[in-house]
Parts: sequence; structure tokens; C-alpha cells
Amino acid sequence: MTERASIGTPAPTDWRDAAHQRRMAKRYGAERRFRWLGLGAVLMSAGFLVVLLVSMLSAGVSGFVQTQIALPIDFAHSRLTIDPAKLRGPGADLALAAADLGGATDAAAIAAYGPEGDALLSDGAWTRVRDQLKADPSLLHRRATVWVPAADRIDIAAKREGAPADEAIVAKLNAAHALKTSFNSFFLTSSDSTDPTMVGIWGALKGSLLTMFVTLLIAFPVGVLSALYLEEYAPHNRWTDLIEVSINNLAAVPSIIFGLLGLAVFLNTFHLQRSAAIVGGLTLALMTMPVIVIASRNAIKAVPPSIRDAAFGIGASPVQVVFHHVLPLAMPGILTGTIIGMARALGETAPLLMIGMRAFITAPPGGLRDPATVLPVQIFLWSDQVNRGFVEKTSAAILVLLVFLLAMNGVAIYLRNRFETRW
Amino acid sequence: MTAAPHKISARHVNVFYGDKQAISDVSIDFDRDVVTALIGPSGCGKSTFLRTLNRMNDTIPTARVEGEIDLDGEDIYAPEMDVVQLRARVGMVFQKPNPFPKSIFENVAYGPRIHGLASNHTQLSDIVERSLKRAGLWDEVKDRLSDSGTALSGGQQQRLCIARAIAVDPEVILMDEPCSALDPIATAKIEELIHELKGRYAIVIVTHNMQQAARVSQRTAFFHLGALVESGSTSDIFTNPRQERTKDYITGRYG
Ligand SMILES: Nc1ncnc2c1ncn2[C@@H]1O[C@H](COP(=O)(O)OP(=O)(O)OP(=O)(O)O)[C@@H](O)[C@H]1O
Ligand SMILES: [Mg+2]
Repeated sequence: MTERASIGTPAPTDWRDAAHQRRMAKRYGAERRFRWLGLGAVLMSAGFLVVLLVSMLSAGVSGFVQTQIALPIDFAHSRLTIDPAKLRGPGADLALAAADLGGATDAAAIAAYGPEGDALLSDGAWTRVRDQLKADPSLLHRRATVWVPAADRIDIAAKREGAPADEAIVAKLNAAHALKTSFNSFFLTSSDSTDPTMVGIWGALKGSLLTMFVTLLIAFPVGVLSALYLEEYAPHNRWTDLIEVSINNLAAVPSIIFGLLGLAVFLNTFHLQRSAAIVGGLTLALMTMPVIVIASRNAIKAVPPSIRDAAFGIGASPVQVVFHHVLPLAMPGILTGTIIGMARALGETAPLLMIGMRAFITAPPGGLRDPATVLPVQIFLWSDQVNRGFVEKTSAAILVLLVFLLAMNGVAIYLRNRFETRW
Repeated sequence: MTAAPHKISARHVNVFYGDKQAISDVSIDFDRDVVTALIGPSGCGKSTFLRTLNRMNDTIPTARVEGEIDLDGEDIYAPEMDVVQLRARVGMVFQKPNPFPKSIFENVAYGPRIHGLASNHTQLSDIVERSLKRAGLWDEVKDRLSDSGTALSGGQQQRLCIARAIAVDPEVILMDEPCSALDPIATAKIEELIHELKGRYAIVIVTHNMQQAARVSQRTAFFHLGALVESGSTSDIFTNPRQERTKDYITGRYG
């Protein structure tokens, strides 16, 4: 008490004096600046996203639109030797392949549009004629008009980006009502080709699906089990520290190195098929695993110890504690990490080039061991083409890749919400 | 097996966390149908000692236990002792209510299910109902058994944890400050519950509340700095402590 008195009772703080007012104004100012900075950052990233989407959409949408030319063909007087009876049943493809449909198509084009007529059509125009015949064999006895894809340069000219000479041709065709544009469903159902009017994304899409399937099948269980073992069972000593450091480093290794690893291990040692989805999937699994392990370990660590205590306290065995309590509670975090890893793997090009997935493949892969390519590699290959027709196809393929990615994220968010528990 | 004189008897128990000794040379017995209170200042090792009785210290990598603890004459630290069964026989209620983030029903049914105590759903429902009734929670939750256990109030959660512990029909119940987070009404309910459970189980309860120790226990043990200073019947300890330190603590001179 005596000491108190010697210090003296301080004067009551005046919360309204000038110094306090200044401090308050500074505090409010800092608050405001911080809010604006944050808002600015959000707007900037949203802006980038919008620019990306708009530019991809504007460049890519025309990739889904195809210019078609009306081609009158007189099947009755063409020199096609096809037995109409064979057009029904399994022998149809063989019968049509034997006939010179390509020649007949070119001849019809020359008859309709002059000596250069065949150059107006896409190289694959005859396949459309073939499909029509298959659908309706009675055509063989009469004259018919078949809509076939236009040649690359006509397609571009019709989209107002071609050479003046081609635009003149387009104007003439338009005047004759021999030109139309339609949704290019062919793009979604066929595979790579040298002719941009005939290319499709399905081969690459299926390759991506198969590759992702293998990646998920390997990386998810191995990653989650490793994380569980390291968190729940492994003793904490120098060896587990070493493993932890290695895993963290592995997650930071550039992806092309995983490609070299895949090349050395899966192709050169195990002699798996080059450019097959299984090799791509395994290689990407190597790359994705550390990401899943790290995310899973963090999710498992975040499960409150009191839940473990509760389960152990009632006599649950360690395995029961893990599978009944820890894993379900960690699942949302594990899934988030998995989807980040899978999204990265889906967009990966470099390691797949190393294992030969850059081949020119015109048929969708039938299985895991068939030669395949994937969306990002396909995009890379098309973007490398000099032909103008590939520009819009590249953007269209990017749109397909983005939709794939969004669908994957959607599934992840759905699963995460299902597993989410409220505390 | 001849009946051991005590339900649990601990002899010369030492507990270390790494190099640090938390419990030194504690010997004490716990009997059937008796509530024993463990009291002592914060950090004296009450929780640590309690957790040796069902080997919950096994889950702490740095913890090491020496000495002998017998349950019905069997050494629970013997290599042939099954820890899972031990923890079913010696149940535990923790300081902070820790229901599983599952439904109320699942919280209570979990133990009987993993130990195979019910052969069908009707039996399981019976066990759940009986346990909730004995924990004094049934009337409050009987219409919402499928609600999350974590949506209950703190006191209800703690009674749910008690129901969960008694659902596996243990022989001993360890309680680590079960009322420290509860209001007086919820505390009174749990004390009442302890009275009712006393007839079936050996109960060991850690508490900081001297009145609570006096109200619910028949025997009391006073810990200080990791050592057992004094133990005896609750009335003796409170009215007539032999040790100066016990007297100082009970009269509120430190702690
Ligand atoms: N996991 C642990 N690792 C290391 N030391 C620990 C651990 N748990 C407890 N200790 C130490 O052991 C001693 C006894 O702790 P304990 O929790 O048993 O005390 P307590 O009597 O229960 O205290 P309170 O009344 O505050 O709960 C303390 O000094 C504490 O710091
Ligand atoms: Mg404690």
C-alpha cells in the first residue's frame, strides 16, 4: 500500500484527447486499406479468370461449329459397285470400304462445282457419304444431296478469317444455298487426324479418363495408407523423419523428372507398352502420391486427440480407431488434397511426353494397354501445327479440358460435403 | 482364481514422461462398490496416475510406467494382458466431454457393437436405452436419438459420455474431473449419478472441488508433486488429516 502511494494515482485516461483520436483514425485507416487491398486481390484473380474464359470461349466455340457443303450425288449413275443387300448387317463396313467412295465423292464435287470442286471438300468428306449410305441403303438407287464437311480453308473463310479468294468462293456458295454451319458433334466423337476438319477430341478424352483412372487407383490408396501408417503407427525417430523429408521433397520435384523415372522403370525395366494409358497413369501416380500423402497427413493430424482418447478409452483397437473415427473425420481433407493432386496430374504434359504419349493416334484407346494420348498432350500437339484450322481446335480442346476439370472438382465438392461432419 | 482382496491394487508405481518423473512410488488400493476421490494441486499427477489404471498412457509415446498394477489380481502391464479388453473392463470419462461426431444412439451403441455385446438390433437398442437411463439422459434425448451427440449441451454431452462408458458394462469407471466444465445443476446430476452407479462399479474420480470429494466419495487420496501423500476414508482425511500438507490443501492454503 505504501508503495502505491509513492507512485501516485495516475490521472484517469482521457479517451477523447487528440492523441487517442489520431491513433483511432490511424487504426480505421489501416483497416480500410487492408479491406481494399484484399478486395483488389480478389478482383484481380477473378479478372484473370474471366479473361481466360472469354478468350478461350471466343476462340474455341468456333471449333465446335462446322461448315458443310451440299453435295448432290447421283448414286444410280455413279460407278459404285455395292451390293445393297450387304449394307444391312455386319458386312457393311467391309462392302463400303471396298467401293471407291472417295473417287465417287470427288467426281460428284467436280460435277457440281467445276474442275476445282473436289478441293472444296474436306479429305474426309467421303466418310460422311459412307455414313449416309449405311443409314439409308435405298440411296443407292437415286439422286441425293449429302451435306459433307468443307475443306479447311473454306471453313476458315466461312468464319470470316480466310483469304480473299476463298471468301469469294464462300459468297458464291452461300448465294446458291450450298453452305451451312452446324454443331460439330464429330469433334466430340472422333480422334486425331492430319486434316483439321476431321479431328476429334474423343481419343484424347478417353485417354485422359483411362490415365486418371489408373492414377487414382494407385495413388489414392497407397497415399492414404502411407499417411495413416506414418501418422498412426510409425514410431517418431530419425528414419521416419527422413521419410517425411523425402516425401516433402518428392512433392516439389519437377514433373518431367517423374517422366524420366517412368521411362526408366515402367518402359525400360518392366517393358510395359510405350504410350499406353497404364504407363501414363503409373507415372502420374508417382507424381500425385506425395501430394496425397502430405494432404492426408495434415487432415489426420487435424482430427482432435479427444476423439482418439474417447475411442481408445472404450476399448477400440488401433485399427478400429483409425477406420471408425480418424479416417472418416479426415476424409474431407484427404479428398481435397486428392483432387488437387489429380487436377495437377490431369493437366500434366511433360512427363507423358517422356514416356511416348505424344504419338499421332487416330483411334481411341480400347484399353489400358493401347496406345493413347491425353488432353493436354493433344492440345500441345495441335498448338504446334502450322495449319490454321488447328488454332480453333486447340482452343476447343482447351474448353473440353476445362469442362473435365470442373466436373472433377464438382465431384470432389459433392463428396466432401457428404463426408463433412459438424462438431 | 481366488478373489483378490481389492479390485485394483497399485504397487510402487512410477511414471515418466521422457526423463521427467510425473509419479513416484505410489501404492494404493481401490475397492468394489466404493468411490475413491483423487485430490491434489494442479500438475501433481492425478490425471497421469488415473490413466495408468486403464493403460491410456500407452497412447502417449514418451510415457513410461514402472511398478505393478493388478486388476482382480492380474497384472495389467503383463505382456499377456489384452489392452482392448482391459479398457472395456475399466471405462473412462474424460475431463472435457468428447462425444463422437455421430448420432446419440451411435455414441452409446459403439462400445457394445465393437465388443459384440449385442447379437441383434433389439438387444443393442435395449443396451442404449438402459445406459442412457442410468446416465439420467434418457428423458432428454429419447425423441432425438438420431441427432448428433455434439449438438447436446455440455452437461448432456458429459452424461452421454458416461452412458457410453457404462454401455460396455465395465467393472471400474475412471472419471477425470467430469464436472469441471459444467454448471452446478449439471454437476449435481452427475454427482447423483455417481451415487447410483456406486453399487455396481468401483469408481475413481479426480476432482478439484473439495465439497464434491466430500459429497461423493467414501475414500480420498491426496497427491502432491507426483507422490501419494495420504489416503484413507474421506471423513478421516477431511476432519482429521495426519499430514500437515493435506491439511493445508484441504483448508485452502494452497492449490
Ligand atoms: N503428455 C505429457 N508429456 C509430458 N509431460 C506431461 C504430459 N502430460 C502431463 N505431463 C506432466 O506431468 C505432470 C502431471 O500432469 P497431470 O496432467 O497428471 O496433472 P494433474 O494432477 O492431472 O493436473 P490438473 O489438476 O491440472 O489436471 C505435469 O507436470 C505435466 O506437465
Ligand atoms: Mg488432470
